[in-house]
Amino acid sequence: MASLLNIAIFLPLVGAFVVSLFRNEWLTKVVSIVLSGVVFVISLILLFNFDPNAHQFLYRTTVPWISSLGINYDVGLDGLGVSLFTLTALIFFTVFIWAIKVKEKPNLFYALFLILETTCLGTFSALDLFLFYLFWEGMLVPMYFIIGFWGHDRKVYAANKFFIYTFFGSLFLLLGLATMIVYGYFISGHISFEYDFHKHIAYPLWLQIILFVLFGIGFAVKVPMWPVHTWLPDAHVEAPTAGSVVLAGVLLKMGTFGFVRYSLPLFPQASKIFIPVMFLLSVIAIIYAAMMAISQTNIKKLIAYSSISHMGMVTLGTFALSISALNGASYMMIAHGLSSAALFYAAGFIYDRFHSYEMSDLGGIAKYLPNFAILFMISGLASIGLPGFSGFVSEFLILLGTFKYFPIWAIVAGVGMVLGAAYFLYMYKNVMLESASLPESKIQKLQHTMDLEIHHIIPFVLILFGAFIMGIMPYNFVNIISQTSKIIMGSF
Amino acid sequence: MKALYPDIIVIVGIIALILIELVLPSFDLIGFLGFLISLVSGFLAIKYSLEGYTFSKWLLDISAFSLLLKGIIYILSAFVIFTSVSFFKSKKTFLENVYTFLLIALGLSIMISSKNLVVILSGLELASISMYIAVGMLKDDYVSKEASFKYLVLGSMATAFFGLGSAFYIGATSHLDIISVSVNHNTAFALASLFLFVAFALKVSAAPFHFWTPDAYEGAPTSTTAFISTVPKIGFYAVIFLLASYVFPIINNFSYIVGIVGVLSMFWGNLVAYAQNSAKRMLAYSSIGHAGYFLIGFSKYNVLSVSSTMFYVIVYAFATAGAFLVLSILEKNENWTHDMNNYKALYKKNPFLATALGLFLFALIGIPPFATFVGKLGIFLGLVNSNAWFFAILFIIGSIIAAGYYLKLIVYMFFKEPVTEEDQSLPLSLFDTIGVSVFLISVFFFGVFPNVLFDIILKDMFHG
Repeated sequence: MASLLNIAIFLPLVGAFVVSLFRNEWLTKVVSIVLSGVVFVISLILLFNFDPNAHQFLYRTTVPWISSLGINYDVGLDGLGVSLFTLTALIFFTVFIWAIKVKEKPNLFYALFLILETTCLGTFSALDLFLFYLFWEGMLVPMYFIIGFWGHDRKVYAANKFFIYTFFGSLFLLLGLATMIVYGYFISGHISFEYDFHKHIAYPLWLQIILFVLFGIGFAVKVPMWPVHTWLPDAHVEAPTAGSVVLAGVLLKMGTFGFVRYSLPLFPQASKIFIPVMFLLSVIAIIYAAMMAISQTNIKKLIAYSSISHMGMVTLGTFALSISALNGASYMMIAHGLSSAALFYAAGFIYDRFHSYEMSDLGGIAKYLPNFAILFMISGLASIGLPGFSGFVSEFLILLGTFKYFPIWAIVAGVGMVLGAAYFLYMYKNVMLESASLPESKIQKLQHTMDLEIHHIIPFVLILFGAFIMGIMPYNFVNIISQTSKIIMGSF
Repeated sequence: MKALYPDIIVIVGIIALILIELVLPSFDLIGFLGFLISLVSGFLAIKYSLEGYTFSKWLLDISAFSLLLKGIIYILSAFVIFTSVSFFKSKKTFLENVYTFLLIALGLSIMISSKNLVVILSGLELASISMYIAVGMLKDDYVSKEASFKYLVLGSMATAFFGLGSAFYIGATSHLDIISVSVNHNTAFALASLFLFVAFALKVSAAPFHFWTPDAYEGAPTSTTAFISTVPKIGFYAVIFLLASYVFPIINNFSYIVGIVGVLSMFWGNLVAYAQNSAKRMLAYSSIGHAGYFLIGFSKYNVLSVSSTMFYVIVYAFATAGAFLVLSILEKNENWTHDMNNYKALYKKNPFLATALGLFLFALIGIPPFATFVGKLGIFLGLVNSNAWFFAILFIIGSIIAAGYYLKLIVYMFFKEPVTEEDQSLPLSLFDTIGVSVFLISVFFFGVFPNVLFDIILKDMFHG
């Protein structure tokens, strides 16, 4: 099993080498889809074989790497890790299918996404801080080029903004890592980057606070939390569809994953102290981003702001410090990964067909593209938390867990989530319905527009099926996720 | 005695090259022999370093650590020579270029072979004078001559400072060697440290002593820039390490002077780099900024800090040399002026060179898995170890500022549309490909396996 995990992490990287070596478009696509399919199958095997009662990381591999600095190649998964791992594998698999018709530099496109997949999978499974940072930061360069090469009009601006913001956060994270390691060195006499080693060190409060802030800046930029969220709308709007999907579906989860994996268990006391701050920032994100979403006319920007709002919900649940809220937060990472991916696919499809994200250019699509209308509606409903989809379970758990100790915050956040329904339905109405007022020229164009093709349907179906299964059978999945929550809450 | 072999090989080699040049003035032959001499003595030095040979007789004091640095200096020189021969040929520079490089490397090697101020000075001068000459090697090029002259004038100031510092040092300690001395509140000693520091700050182009740098780096033939902006740094920082071990700690708060000079040149270099339209000049400012990082690293003396700064200097040398060499390969094309506009859509014209330069720039930003990232992490470890939080935060801000101008060049190369639509793919020779690949692979390799180099540095740096 452990070797399966290693294979899954590095298979895409091998694929990237093959792809850039042969530079044959047809071979590239086959290799990418097959390899990511294999990775997805492996991730499912790992998920179904996961033992929710385990008390440590499973599928673990530890190999000495840089012994003088106490750095190991160390990977393994816990409940949250394996869930995000599966999510990542699924999203990338669908991305490769979706992008099959990419025309511009297809080999480079697939190679960059394959590298990105390895770094994302690695981030969720690394148990050594050095390795973690390597993967965490390694994702920056491929994503930069994905936005920069295949983006829309303001791609360079968006790519640079994305790079600088993320790099800014990462450097604070790096300083935090360094601080932690030096402290470990002071009290134990040897340098170690092992996660387990640091988990068992009781840091003094002042240091916990410093570390929490340093790590927190790094993670918050990635989440993104208000007020460092401004890179996200730009990056999303300018990125190509596949890039947006990966950004929303996987990369944003790295930040919240970081909070759960590192901030909570390593700095428990500081986490308690920072509850009000984190709550405030989360609630501002939920309400403010939802308001911003309502006022958008660009559908991709609208979905981007809805992501910020949902991620605010995740950070709220994370810092409520109860098992069920943490379960909900973790569940929401997966749920939002699926639903936002589906929504960005929908936006991407609209752009492919109509070459615009502006609501004023669109309208009346539902009548002419019925299949798409149905799948878009389902994606949206999954996103706003309709019962029967994963979003509902997660929101319910978060509010339940938060309400117990922080009723006021929970109510405010709950109100914020209602806005979600407002902006989605508003967008759906403007984009898909309102066929009565359409001018003749647009109707003619719509009549000649092709509905979903097979490479569009497969990603939609896979992702929505995931959201649906997680919505109607939450117990099994919550069970896996709560393995992490129990361990983490055990340290409080 | 074996510890002297690498230098002896180079000395004999240089004399042989001078003689061969009289008979067979061929760039290929001289270049190849120069490459071979440098490579062999480099590997020999590293071999002896690993076997633990040392030599301390007469005025010399060659430790395993200085052998390691000699090895790196010679190997780096070898590959710079390897990649620059075709550039020199195309620019029709003087044939002496090859062994001027070897002379610089030899001077540096002598400089780090001793703790004696006189020997350090003679090595420093051999390297410096050869560098002034190397900068002015472009025939019929006014800018090159001007750069050379400016470098000569300001470089001589460094020598003067060094001499003055040595005089005060001898006066205060009655020693010629940089070893642990005990002096209390001695003004002469304080002046000595200050002057010695200024001499080397000038040499490593730290602000406010950097004014020669942009002109010298821009005016020099590009592959000479690749050489003088990297190889000498390793030697100079080795001496700064020596000073930081024995001289600076004696004076209270001297580390702040080093740190402030570091912060100043980090911000100066990184901010002024934004204003540059020439990629070559931008990289010159980048090296001023990096001098700042390294001085911040050396400002706090602890095992982690100085060893990882030394590691950083070495891998930075590989990354910068690689970047300048790509520039030199591009310059072989007609009408190439290093203006940013020349770089528009370079990715379409020559994917390999664009990708290589892009990766070198990402390495200079400090993105993993490139080796410079390990250096940054190491400096953070060292600063935190000394509780130098303020410097650590400034270091972060400086690094973020730096990311912007490297990205600017990357944007030009990858995302901008070409000026003219006609297909103008740039040629690339096999030798150039190999040369650039060597640098690229080293930067990558030391990032994934920093222990290969780091362990030796850590082991040797503090023994001997």
